[in-house]
Amino acid sequence: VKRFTALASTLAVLVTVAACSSGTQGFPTPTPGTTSSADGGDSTASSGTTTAGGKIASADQLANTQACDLLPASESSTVGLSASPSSHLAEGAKSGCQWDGDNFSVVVVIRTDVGLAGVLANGGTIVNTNVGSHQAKKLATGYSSGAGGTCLYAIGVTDSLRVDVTSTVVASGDACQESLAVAQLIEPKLP
Amino acid sequence: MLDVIGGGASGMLTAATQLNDAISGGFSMNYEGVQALLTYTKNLQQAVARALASQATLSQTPQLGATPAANTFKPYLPTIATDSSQGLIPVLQKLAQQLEQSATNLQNSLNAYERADKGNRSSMVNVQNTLYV
Repeated sequence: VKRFTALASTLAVLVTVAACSSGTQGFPTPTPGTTSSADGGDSTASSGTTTAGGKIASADQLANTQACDLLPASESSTVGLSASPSSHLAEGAKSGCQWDGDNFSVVVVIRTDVGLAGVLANGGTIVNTNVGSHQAKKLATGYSSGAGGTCLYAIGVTDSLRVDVTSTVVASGDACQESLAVAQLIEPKLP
Repeated sequence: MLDVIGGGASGMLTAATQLNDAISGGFSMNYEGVQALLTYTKNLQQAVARALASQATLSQTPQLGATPAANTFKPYLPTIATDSSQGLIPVLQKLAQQLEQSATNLQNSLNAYERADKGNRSSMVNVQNTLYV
């Protein structure tokens, strides 16, 4: 009886806490007019270019591109992700976008105030690499395979402009393989 | 917002750990109940992975601007997100691992029931730890 009571209590907490954790995400953004053009973090800022699968001509165009435009539906489905993004987000970047799949969730962000030199290790290991013709850095924490594993591929464009691809494993799989697969789809479009 | 999410994730981690403790002790539940619990656990796995993917970007320096206050806060935010004991991302990763353990044990228990007991008209599934961890 005690075991059933404990199980029932556990399930009640899971349901209750899951309900409490939902809500609108937010991130502080600078007051307009007080920052330079490289600042800010507003995903709703006006979009300069829609790539439609084509190559983006310049760094300035990339800085004004919405991250969701970097991975069209025809490409996201080839790496096991939903055809349409699940959400537009910024999370402290100029623009960001998230795709979910059965095995992975992937977030792509465009950062316009920091390049590859600014990738933080946070206790993980940074490996210099290349994705296509672009220099890149791979950041794998001690935990990149299995449920909750994450892996970042940062693709450098200029000293102050890069595109980050972060994958998270739902139940099983290798986050670094998924991040690399997505990065390889995005890289040919980058200036 | 981070403390709310972090507090919720921490509470869910405790609950998921308790669920795995109950599974380790073993209990019986009807077939439909275990199926429902497994479905719920898998849905929660998807939700945790989605949250983790979006929050993982906080491990890098946020683009807050160039004001003195922003420059003061910038270095600390990735540390808050990634702190090994209290950071949001490690807590979410532990929760994801606990949920995967729960889902695997529930699935294995259902499989064992279908192999051995279903034909004998046993109405209860013995849920137990099949991972020996």
